[in-house]
Amino acid sequence: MKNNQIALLVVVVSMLSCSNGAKTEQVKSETNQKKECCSKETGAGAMETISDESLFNISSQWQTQKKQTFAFNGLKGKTTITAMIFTSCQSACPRIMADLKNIESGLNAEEMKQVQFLLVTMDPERDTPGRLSTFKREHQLNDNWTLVCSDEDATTEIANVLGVRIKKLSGGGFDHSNTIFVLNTNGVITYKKDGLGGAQTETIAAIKSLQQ
Amino acid sequence: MVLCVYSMSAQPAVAGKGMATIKGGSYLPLYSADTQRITLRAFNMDIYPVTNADYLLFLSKYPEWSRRKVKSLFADSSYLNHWITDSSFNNNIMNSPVVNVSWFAAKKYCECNGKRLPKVAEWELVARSNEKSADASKDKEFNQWVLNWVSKPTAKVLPNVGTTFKNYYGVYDMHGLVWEWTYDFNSALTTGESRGNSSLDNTFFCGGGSFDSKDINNYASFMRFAMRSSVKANYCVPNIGFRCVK
Repeated sequence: MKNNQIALLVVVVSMLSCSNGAKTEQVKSETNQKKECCSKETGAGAMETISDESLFNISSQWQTQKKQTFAFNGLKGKTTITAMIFTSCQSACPRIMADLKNIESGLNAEEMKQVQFLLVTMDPERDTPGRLSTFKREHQLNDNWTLVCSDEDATTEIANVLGVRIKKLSGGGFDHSNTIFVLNTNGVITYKKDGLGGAQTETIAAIKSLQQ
Repeated sequence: MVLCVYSMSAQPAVAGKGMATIKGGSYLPLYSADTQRITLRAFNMDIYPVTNADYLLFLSKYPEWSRRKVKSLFADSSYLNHWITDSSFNNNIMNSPVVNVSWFAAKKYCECNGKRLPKVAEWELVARSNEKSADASKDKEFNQWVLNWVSKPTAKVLPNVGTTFKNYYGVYDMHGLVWEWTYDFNSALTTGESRGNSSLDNTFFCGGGSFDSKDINNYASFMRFAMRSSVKANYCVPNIGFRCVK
């Protein structure tokens, strides 16, 4: 009986949407949030020089599939390959996943050490850390892959930074552009590939060109 | 010598600018089936677009958004390029709508004033109102007036806010001065783009026969759709300003 209750509780907790999770986070750090809006310098930019074009200038808070907090400046130090997805996507996302895996298989072990993959969900309402974790398992993604979710505002912001267009559909899906981005170790987009399928040779070459 | 440059030390000329209550309603986005009709709750909207003077006041509190300090990730090189310096502009545009501002900057301005950018649906709901009626989207004269404005090139010196008509809700300048940023402009996805790099739900095509019949007559709303689908969030252009809602 007790075990059942615990199990139920776990289910309820894992059903909380990412936006709810992020909201709780926001309440906790409300003072920080206010400070961010009203401060003279943003926290991220004040300490060290970040390129004007770097995604590290984005200060929104995210959650990983392991429910760990994530910020874009956490990508520092490695080349990042990133795309926006949603886990309940039927048509395009499996194809963008195939493209990303093609890229992965085009890199040797040494190069893989300097590279990380980031999947950003465009569906903050339904893609909880739990669902992202399931997606990661189902797609057999190794620990080089991080999946993140946040609230609507942060999701809109990153989509606008990347120039990914997202139209929510009444059935719960999205119309969206499919683009794969390559970021250098400082978070600057150095290459992007629009569209699905096709050879990933150029993307792989763009990644290799960033390796020391 | 007449001081013709407005700077931080001068007093803002427009005071007590308020918001108007919009009682809500429903809006059908372009290229959408009728099942995608959006129901809107009541909200408040700025009566006027944000002016250069308003924006200067914002920069005095948040200098990280000044021309010199803004990150190019959030605003391209045209940001506020109609100003003389980081904190001054010609006196004659003090009460004109601020333009050459990016979506990121507009969003931040609204947030720092305890407001937000309107959604496309909210903006369009208010924009279909003329002087007398909340929904003038079938009014030929009104549609023609709006179309006449969008067909004209942007004035070199933008007129002051409040110089076009006051609509049914008490809101000015939805048409006739500048185009305006909306929170979800990014959801304007065209079939042209979709051919290249996006996936499309089937309803996107199959719903094609169910265009909002009101909007078929309203060519200007298609132009706004095209504008939204062609800009990026860091673009700063001389005919896009913004206003906030709450």
